[in-house]
Amino acid sequence: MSRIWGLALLGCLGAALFVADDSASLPAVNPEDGKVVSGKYTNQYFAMVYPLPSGWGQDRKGPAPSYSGYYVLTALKSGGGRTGTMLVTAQDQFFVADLPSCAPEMVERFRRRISEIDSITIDREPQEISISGARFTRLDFSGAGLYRTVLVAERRCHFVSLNLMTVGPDERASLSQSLDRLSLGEPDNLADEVPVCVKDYATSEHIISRVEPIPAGPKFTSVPVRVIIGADGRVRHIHVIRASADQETNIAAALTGWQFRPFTVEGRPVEVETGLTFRF
Amino acid sequence: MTQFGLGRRAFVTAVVIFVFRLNALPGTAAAQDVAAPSFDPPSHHGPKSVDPGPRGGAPGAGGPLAGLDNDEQVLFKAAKSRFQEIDSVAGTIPGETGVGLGPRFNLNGCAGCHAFPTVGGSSPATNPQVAVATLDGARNVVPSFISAAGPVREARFIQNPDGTPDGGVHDLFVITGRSDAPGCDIAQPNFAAALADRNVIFRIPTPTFGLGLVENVPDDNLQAAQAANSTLAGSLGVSGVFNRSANDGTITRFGWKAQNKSLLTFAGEAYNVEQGVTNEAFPSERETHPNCQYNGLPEDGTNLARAFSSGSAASDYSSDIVNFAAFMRLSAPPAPVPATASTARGKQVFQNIGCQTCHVMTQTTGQSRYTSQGNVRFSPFSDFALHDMGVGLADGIAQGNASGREFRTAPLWGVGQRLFFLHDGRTTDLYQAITAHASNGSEANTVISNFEMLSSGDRQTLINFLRSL
Repeated sequence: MSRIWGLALLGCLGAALFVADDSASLPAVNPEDGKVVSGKYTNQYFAMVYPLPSGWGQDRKGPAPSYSGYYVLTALKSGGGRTGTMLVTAQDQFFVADLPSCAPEMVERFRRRISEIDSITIDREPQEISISGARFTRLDFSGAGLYRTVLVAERRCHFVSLNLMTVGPDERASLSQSLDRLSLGEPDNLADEVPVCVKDYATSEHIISRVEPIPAGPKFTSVPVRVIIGADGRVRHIHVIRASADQETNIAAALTGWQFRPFTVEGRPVEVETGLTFRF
Repeated sequence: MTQFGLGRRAFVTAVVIFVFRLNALPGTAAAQDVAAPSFDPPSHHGPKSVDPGPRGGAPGAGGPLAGLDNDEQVLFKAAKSRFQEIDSVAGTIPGETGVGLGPRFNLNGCAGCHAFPTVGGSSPATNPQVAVATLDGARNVVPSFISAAGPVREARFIQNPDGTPDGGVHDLFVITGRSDAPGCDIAQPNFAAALADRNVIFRIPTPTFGLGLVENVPDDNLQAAQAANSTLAGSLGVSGVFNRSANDGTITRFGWKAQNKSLLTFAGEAYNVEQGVTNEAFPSERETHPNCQYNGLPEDGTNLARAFSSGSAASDYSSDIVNFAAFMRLSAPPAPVPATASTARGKQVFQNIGCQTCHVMTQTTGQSRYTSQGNVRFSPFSDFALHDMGVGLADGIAQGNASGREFRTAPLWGVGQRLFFLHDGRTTDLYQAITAHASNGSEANTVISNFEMLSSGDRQTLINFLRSL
């Protein structure tokens, strides 16, 4: 892992603000749109590219995004006998109460939880590392003959997690080594490409006009939605993360009529990405 | 993609649904003779792990909750007796004194389905549906998916003939030909056609032991138990969502899809849907053919005079469904056997690979009106939430917030003495039941992948642990 370096530092360092150029017009991709092609997992939303180790391929597909904005981005497995897997997930930071405020805190919470399980051994305490310039927090642990590593980074107001599971420490080391080839859109590069992400931007303070969606079943569901609001204050992209078909249609129809006050940086209107919840 | 990305999403959804239908639902009739689920070669060689089968010995369930006072225990005993009542059309056949069977039904008593390892459990070794098909002169043909050695099953159709969603129970049998149903001449559903169209799925009875504790867990406690697991679950691809009452928005928790709010609703619905007995919770006949109506409605109701002499006034004046609910509410949870070295290791393995992210090991009740039942910690091994179980277990039936691929986490307590597994009873082998959790789209894929990566010895300890419950 020549390009992985340890910072041995925990604690939230403050989120970076990624400012979009107001002329930016990203293709309308969503977190779940990544795929494995020609031995490489590519996720355009997170600007992630991971060349798979030799012999590895896609495992069984994961579930659809959840009502809490949780994604199984991809599941990968070793070839031949199953000796290792990697699960790549993302958790939207907009839709879960009491979510940790940063990746180190997320991993520390995870560490506390697994420490409650009999026979789990912590092989490597949480530690901040860099993979190709992207900052991750890493934890290694093992139990029941399985050797695991969890790596968590933050991108576009999501926790992106790499979950490595192997049958031995050597297999884990080898799989970890393969992450040297992973890239996860470095902040400086992203600054020119992705909108600012701001929690709770869709509040009355920022909304000039709104249209309520027509009610649709099932009742008592909270539908998470991510939107990108253009520099003109109109909704440029809608991602209904999880909903019934009728709810999705009605939400999209309503949001086309919403008008926001443009988000500004240094007085300049820019695109902003935020989340909102519709309760049926 | 359209301006807002909906066009493509809708198209993808349509394609997924289409492919889903073309492939037939693995949980549907077309796939009931299920081969062993696809399983990656284990990475560790060694003897194959084997399900030892249901644990022998005395049933680890069936009695009342510990700590009930005398009146509550007497009520439990009386309610259990009512749960074992056999129904006929008008209650006039000796030994079948319950009133209101049919016109359509799956069986003639609660305890026939909820039978193993004792009254209140799940499907018994010998399916009573075969015998009831021709009881008292009935002329029913036993559908091909019912056999004497198979599980008790109800059947649901996925779609109506016009292609709209159905999802309802289509009872297997009719009262036509019975000596107590003169003039009734309705026919059974055409199950052969439904099978040919791959339009029918099955459900087996859920055990009822300990359900009063489940009923009494506050929503906040369920949510807290789920939240406590959220970071671990997130590393395994597990999320989950609660089903909710369309009436008040609170968490529903009974039935294969957590579609029922309360034990009274559960009892009332089953009495009407499975036995055809109208009651105060479900007062309408589902089959309204005028030649097949014999009783005033509801057929089961509150008794204005003391109709029984059980020793419990509460039971004697109460309707059948209130008694059924009381039996379930006051029954003790299944008791596991003492741990061995193997099962203790299996419990560790269970947690190491992540089973407990859905099969949450302990829950806590809230305040209770019943003696000694408030703030009780118990071990159902379920979060009572819905999880996407993928195309391999999908049944295509949406209920409340549950989609056609989502199921409530089946509580594992008592699994040591269960004969049939999964919602449709497709297997008697716990090993197959575990691996069937994995398929495209399932939240359990990573946990099952971990199971596959265990040594054969650890897989065996896990199965032994489950059979100790």
